[in-house]
Amino acid sequence: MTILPELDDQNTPFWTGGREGSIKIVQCQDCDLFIHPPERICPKCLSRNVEPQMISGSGTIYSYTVNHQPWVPDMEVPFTLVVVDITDAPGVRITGQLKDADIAEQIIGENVRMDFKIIENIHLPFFHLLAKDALS
Amino acid sequence: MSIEKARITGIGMSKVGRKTMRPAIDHLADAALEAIADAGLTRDDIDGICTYPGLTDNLPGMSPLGVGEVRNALGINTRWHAALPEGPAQIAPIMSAAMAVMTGQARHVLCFRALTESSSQSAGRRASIPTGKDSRISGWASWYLPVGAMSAANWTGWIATRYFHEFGMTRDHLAEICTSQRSNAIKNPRALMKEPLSLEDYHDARMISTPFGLYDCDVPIDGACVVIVSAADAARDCRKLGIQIEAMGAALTGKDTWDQRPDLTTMASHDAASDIWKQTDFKPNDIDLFAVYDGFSIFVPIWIEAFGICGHGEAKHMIDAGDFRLDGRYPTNTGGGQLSAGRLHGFGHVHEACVQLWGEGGDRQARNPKLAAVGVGGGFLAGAMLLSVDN
Repeated sequence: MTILPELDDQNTPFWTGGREGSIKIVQCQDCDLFIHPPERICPKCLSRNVEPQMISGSGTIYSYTVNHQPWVPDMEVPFTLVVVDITDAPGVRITGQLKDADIAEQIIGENVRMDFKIIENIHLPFFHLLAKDALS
Repeated sequence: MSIEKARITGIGMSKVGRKTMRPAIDHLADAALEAIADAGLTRDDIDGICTYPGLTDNLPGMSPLGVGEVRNALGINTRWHAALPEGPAQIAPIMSAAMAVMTGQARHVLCFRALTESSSQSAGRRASIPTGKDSRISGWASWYLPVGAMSAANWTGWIATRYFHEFGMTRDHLAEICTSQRSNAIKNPRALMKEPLSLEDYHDARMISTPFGLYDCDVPIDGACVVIVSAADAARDCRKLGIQIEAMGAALTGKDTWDQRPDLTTMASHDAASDIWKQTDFKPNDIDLFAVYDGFSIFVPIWIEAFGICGHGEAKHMIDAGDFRLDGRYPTNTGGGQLSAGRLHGFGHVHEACVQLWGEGGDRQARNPKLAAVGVGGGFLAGAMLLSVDN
């Protein structure tokens, strides 16, 4: 069972951006601050001139946890959750599952790229280790 | 004009259990009547009531009673009331009650927290997992649940992983916290967990979300806890010498998230606890005792660092030295904490700090504490208090 986000005009560019190739993160058009989760007003300069911007989907693992507990029926465990510093949206982190990591590997600082799993109208982000790509 | 600080004059706790299948109001009434009697008051002296978060059903058993249910059941007529889902964590009602009595809105405020998470869990509803009425959610949890980060064990797990990475803490340090608190619980007649917890037990337990195993996570329970907050002049009519709420910290920086705080080896705890020191002449090393939130074991060193008794990342050395044991320099979670006494959502911590300051700890009494630091909440939730007695 996957619990999906309720789409609204603010979070839709994030959760459906994958249709166009990548997630969109809101950015202030006046002071360039990336704002995630999205806001209608820039919390730094208070500008209302904020727009979703497509990001490349590359990042670096800031932290992680390997989940072993099936919290809901049919949850397949274990899996690794990574908190990723997004390379071209400074200050923004995105959390998702890491698909191909060996469990319990030390992975802080590793580079990752984003991919998507499509469920209903949502493009759920997940991550691959770049080092694994290089090997394959 | 100088306003006299508020006092805690009475505390009460129901019998804490698992799968009690008792109605929440039964637990609450036990705790409330005990607290009122502890203060030497009667029901009719209570003129204020306050709780966190108020009646809610989106987390099963998390808050089965609001202000209305308790007023109705106990026949309490109030001059002031509030339920505070967005205050400084789970002790928001105690901090707000202090402000209410200091400004004359009420004289004796009954602050309560009631939970029936254990019974809800056994009835087939998963405690601790936010759920909506259907499979779609909104709000801050919508950034985590869809990708499979469903539990606070996950959100706190990545905080702990980063903390371990930066400061070289290991599961052995967390084990010391968990086993030491269990030793305290065994000496606490009210605590839920009464079996000794060995290092082997700790390390053999199943993993929940790394680096947390089963014993790094607190225990959902059924129970209720009540704290009476009184105006200073009204406290003089009470049975015991009131415990002074010396300072309160509710500062908050950053957003309501579990992953965007720039330094995830700190939490809102650091915002709230550092603000404490702007309001008091006491210094961090005046603290005699800690009662800090332990929904997960890693919260304990993070909270202790937040109060400033050691540098960032240095708590592990104090753990190694046994400083947080009952006979250590800073006895911590002397009743067992939520890890071993049960998840009363911070009210248990306030209750235990008061027990200790009144010298009522029995076998688990710390050596003559005068100043207790209470830190409640995890992640982007935090409220902090210094409690003092001058006897």
